[in-house]
Amino acid sequence: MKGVGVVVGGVGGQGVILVARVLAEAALARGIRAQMSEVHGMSQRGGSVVSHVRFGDVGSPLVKKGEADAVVGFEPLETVRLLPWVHRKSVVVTGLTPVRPLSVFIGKEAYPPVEDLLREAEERAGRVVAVDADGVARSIGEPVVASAVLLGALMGTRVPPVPMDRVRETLRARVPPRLVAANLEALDIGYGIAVEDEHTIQFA
Amino acid sequence: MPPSPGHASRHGGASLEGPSERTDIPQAAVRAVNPEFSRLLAARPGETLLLLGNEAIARAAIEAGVNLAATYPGTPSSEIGTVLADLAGEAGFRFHYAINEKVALDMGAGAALAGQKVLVFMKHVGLNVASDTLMTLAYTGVRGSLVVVTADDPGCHSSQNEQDNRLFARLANVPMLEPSTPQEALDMTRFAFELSAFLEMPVIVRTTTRVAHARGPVTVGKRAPQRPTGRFEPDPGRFVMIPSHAREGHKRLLQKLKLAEGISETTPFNRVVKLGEEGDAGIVTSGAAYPYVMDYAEDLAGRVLKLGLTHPMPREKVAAFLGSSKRVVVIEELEPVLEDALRAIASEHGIAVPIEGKDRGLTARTGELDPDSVAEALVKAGLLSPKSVRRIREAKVLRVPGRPPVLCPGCGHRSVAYAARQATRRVDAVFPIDIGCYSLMQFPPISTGDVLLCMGASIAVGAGLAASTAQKVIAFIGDSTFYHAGVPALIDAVHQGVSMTLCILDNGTTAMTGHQPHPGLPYEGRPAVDMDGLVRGCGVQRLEVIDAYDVKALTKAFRKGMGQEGMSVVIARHECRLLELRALSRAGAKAPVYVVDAAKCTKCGWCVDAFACPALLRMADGVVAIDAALCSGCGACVDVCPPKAILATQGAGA
Repeated sequence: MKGVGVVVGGVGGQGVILVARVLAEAALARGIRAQMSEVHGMSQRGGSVVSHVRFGDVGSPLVKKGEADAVVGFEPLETVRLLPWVHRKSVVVTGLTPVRPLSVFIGKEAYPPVEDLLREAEERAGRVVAVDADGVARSIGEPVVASAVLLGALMGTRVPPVPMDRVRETLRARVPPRLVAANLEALDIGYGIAVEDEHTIQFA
Repeated sequence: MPPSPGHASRHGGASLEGPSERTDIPQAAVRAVNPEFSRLLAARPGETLLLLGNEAIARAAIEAGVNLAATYPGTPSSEIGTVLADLAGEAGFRFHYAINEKVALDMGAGAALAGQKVLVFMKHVGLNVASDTLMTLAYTGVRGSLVVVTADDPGCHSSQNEQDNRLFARLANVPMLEPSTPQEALDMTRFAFELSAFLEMPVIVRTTTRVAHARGPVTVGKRAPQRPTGRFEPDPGRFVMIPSHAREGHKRLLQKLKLAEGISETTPFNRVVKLGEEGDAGIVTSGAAYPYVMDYAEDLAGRVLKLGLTHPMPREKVAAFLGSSKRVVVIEELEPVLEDALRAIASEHGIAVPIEGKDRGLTARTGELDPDSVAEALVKAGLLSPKSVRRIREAKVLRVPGRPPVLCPGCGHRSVAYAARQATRRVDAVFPIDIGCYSLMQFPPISTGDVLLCMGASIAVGAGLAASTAQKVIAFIGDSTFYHAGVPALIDAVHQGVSMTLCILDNGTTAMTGHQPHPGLPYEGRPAVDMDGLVRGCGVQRLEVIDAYDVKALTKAFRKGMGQEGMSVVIARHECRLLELRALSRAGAKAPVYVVDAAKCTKCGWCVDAFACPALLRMADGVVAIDAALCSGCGACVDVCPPKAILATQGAGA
């Protein structure tokens, strides 16, 4: 197997590592070799967080630039920051809610319009699945499950070589018991959004 | 709705004066073991788990039958401690969060001299602190086993420098292993315990961020028995390093290193790996760089010499590799350590093969490598066709604002720095800071941080500045850092009669690295070493203890401190808001919710421009609102707002 690479990025505390870890563990449970990299430390203080996941018998846990099969950005700016990893056929899954960096909220820099950020992604990648993950999570009643919505959407693109039921089981084991139901619902809704989005493209 | 503990101290009795008993830190309850770590302990030999490099090291120590593990937390080594601290009780070894890395290594040395199996681990700069011990411990050697893990941080993900600790192995003349993957982290750490026992000397395992924080499949092994309670057998000629003994110790050390070299020649950790095609080029690499090279294995011709036991080098094996290659390319992170060694070996053996590496700028001496920079190096060396590297489209990606880490909403460091800024508005002041979350105080607009070197340096650097300038000095140091390396500097500054202010940011934890304990806190039934008494014991005459959210009292205290001769100490105390919020949530309580009274808000923007808590939002019309999702309910902004438009509400959240 040539190897599949996914790069996940967001803001500290959004669940980037959780999503990457569920993907890698689900793969391993299925007998697929998976590696990932995390960077801890300063990143937990509201800074950018990136985690790479590589499936298959590959050397290093890091995805080369221009070689990610999928990129998942939890936040529009962070999605753009990951674009150097995409190629013309990559899938980009992105959340839509801006989280302002320090330079923006003290007024030193402006937050670019979200449409511009999405256009940038569309110009570089094969397909962009834009998901209002926070909206979905709020409608479920648990804002923290936005990460599961994005994980579901990634699974809906069928890029990760891992079956959805394995991901569901792994996620179930990884989240606090009282959040299991909400996470699984979020996962399924996210999955549905990506599948429907693909459908729309095909028949548009 | 019960108020948060922070508010109890704030409104209950204004600021605290003088020494006080800690009431804000709960007695550490008996910890529940993280079920994930229990699985790590319970895993049967042959089972494969998805482990972090650091978790693999922890498992290796348990498999080796470790008796004592000691550390001072530091990224990227901290998770070794998170796992081992949790499992110590269940697995039956002693775990010790030491006051600093030198004390950790000294303690480890004591145990290992008595025949115990010991793991001491730290971040790269931690080994600077412990190096005084290491250099001479190499002479005495040990009787059990002593494995030292140093976790280097190329690229400075969370460090003040990116020193290459492979050089420490050469300075101390001790063996060093460099794992490339989590599996090797386990295998090499286990091997290090055996090697240390065999050679009766300390052995270093050196990881880097990309190994320590890589997660991959790890097949675990069998658990060896621990050593029984030790007994120290005196041997003054070996263990008492007076000059005459030390001279002999140095000779013994070099003999052991010769033995280690023999092992380096035969260990499978140093091996030749064939690449996709036959060829006469040789690549020499180690650590995190090896998997990057292997990413291109199919497109490369020749062989790789993969070095795992990198000190001492397997000179014969290296010479054979050099002699049978037409050209040799070295791919290594940071300093040209292997490269220089290779050149020396080639020269000794009269081998004329060209050796290329840092000298040709194939890889940089700064920053970390990644698959892209390694591809670039291999292309530059002519070993890899540019065609086999996917063309990265010109990086014309939209330039977007960066996102550095920030102080959390409700962080007590923000209000303390703000107060210091207020107190020095018309004063020529300098702010030396130290290692911890509060290094983030230097970002604008708080901009409180003029010098940052290393653990504990703020105090004596401040004293040096105060003694040499007419400027006012307010130095900042965290509680854990104060215990780690601040105490001698404080005694010294007091004794020198230097006029300055020291602010100890006491948030009751080692926050930056994941909330580890320190000696100022009660831990598993052991009492705290009282900070206030300690400060007074250092000879400090003027000490004020103030709640970290009490901007007014802090501003007053800083002003007062600057107006006086000698050392003034302000302890700004409030438990880390993250811990406090966790405790509130466990108790089923919520922090108060703060709102801006839009009618009172004068749109001056001061709170956003000068205080910059992420929860403060400047709306389109200039009125400020509080983001309820981000607000931690600390209330520190109340005193920051000039028209007093911020108020607590008992509403929504309760």
